[in-house]
Amino acid sequence: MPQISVTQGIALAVLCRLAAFLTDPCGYTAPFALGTFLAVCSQLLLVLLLCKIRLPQFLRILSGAAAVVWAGVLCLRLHRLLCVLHAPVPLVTLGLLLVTVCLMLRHPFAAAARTAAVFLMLSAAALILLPVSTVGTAEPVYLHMHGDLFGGFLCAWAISGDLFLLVPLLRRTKTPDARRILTGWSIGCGLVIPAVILLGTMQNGRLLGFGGAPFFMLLARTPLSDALRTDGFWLLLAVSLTALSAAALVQNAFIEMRDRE
Amino acid sequence: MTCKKLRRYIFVILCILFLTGCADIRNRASPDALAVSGNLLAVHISGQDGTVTAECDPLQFPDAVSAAAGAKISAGHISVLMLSEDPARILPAYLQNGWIAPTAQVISAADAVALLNSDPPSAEDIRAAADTGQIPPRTADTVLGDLLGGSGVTALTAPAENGFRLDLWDDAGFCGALPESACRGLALLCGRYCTFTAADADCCFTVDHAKPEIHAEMYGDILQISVSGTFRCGMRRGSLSDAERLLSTMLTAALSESVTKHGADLLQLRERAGAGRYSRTAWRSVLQSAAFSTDITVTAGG
Repeated sequence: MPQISVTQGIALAVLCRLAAFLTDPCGYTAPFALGTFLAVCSQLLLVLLLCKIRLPQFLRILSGAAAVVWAGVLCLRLHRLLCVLHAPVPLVTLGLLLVTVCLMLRHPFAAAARTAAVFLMLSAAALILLPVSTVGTAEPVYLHMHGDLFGGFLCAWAISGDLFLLVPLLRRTKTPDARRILTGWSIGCGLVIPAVILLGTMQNGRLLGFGGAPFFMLLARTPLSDALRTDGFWLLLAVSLTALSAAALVQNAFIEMRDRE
Repeated sequence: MTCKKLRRYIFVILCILFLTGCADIRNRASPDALAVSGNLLAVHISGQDGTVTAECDPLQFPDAVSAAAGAKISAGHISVLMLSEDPARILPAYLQNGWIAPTAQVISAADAVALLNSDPPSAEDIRAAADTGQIPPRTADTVLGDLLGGSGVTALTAPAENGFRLDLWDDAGFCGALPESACRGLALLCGRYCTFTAADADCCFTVDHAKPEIHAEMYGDILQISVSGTFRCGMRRGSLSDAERLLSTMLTAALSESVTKHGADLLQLRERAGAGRYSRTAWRSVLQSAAFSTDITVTAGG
């Protein structure tokens, strides 16, 4: 059974959600952010429950299969994002991504976990810079906009495939470490992501969902990226996180199957 | 690392290098300004003299201009878009397809192609006008936001005799121009300027610090707008009361000309009043029948 550190566990769980979030087409509003927060609260309760009870074998197999399916969904979402952003040759990028995933699958799970820890630091640094660069163009008045709270709740559930990675990971980890991983995941998904949504709302309040890539629309308003196609860092990060998450999800599913045997 | 492994990694790196889509970058033309006037398009390409003109549907922009320029067009770096056309027809498709950046400046002109061929204003000129409080910043995303989420009336920057002014557009086309005082009042209310100097026959001053607050509240179907705040002004000539009178004139002109006369929501009044339930047409009617008041205080600054 592969042993990973707390940081690596948090990184795997959070980055899997971040990969789905970066490719999400749902438009940002303040109620959407609140819906996301509430969804993560409900997911936290579900995770706690699933970690306490003993899951029947067929549910564990189902969870493993769902993790593999979610890995595929992440790749398709990335392809959609590349098309929306008019990235050159999206199909070739997808092909290269699949090659990368296959290469990663040949390495042990701990390698993916170590890589995730590095990417977590990188993502955290970039997310810290984001509000600094957007502060000049933010309009807090857009936070008063009407929006769909339940829609936000559902959208957050729709990108919660990371639970198929998180729950088995927590079940395999010692209790104090599991608690820390869960706390880190809750902060990342329940506080940081809604904060980014609020930031996006303040930037593009009236262009709700326009363009199909709200996160990249938020970046387009920042002084650091005056043209659409200088968002290279985030696009590269989205590709990397998708590859990493897909590989981690599949490897984790295999580990679950092996443990069952 | 074994030779076999090394070869595999070299292969992957070469794949990445050759499949990035950037191999033909030298053959591409990168326009920085585009003018659309009916079915006539003109672009200015970075690093080249003169313009390239094409006659086609504006929504076929890259293909038509590529054919006219004899090189593939790398859109997305256009910093100035000049329109003689309804922005609601052009902007959604252009932004959706990434042909212009959301931060691109949108200019209204009677003949956009003629303007591009004569003495077109640069993005820097427009930014400088916004920085000095001549006009509020009107980038592509702001313009489209007004059309989609405001009242369907938007304001575009337009060249004027002594700088820039704002032209108003709605679904039916050009619907009026804002006078200089209204443009300056809107710039004050938007608060995105770096320096704001105002002068008339009686006074001349610089606004050192301003904190205007816009309150919008619905009373039934009646919108009440009130602007209040304190302005700290460095007086060069005249008295504080003269400055207060001039600033009040600008703010009143901004509200009367843009809101009540044309029904334009350039100040996020819909969001401030929590009036998301109104359709764009209904919201425009509400704005046109809105009541407003201004109550500002001017203090002496450095």
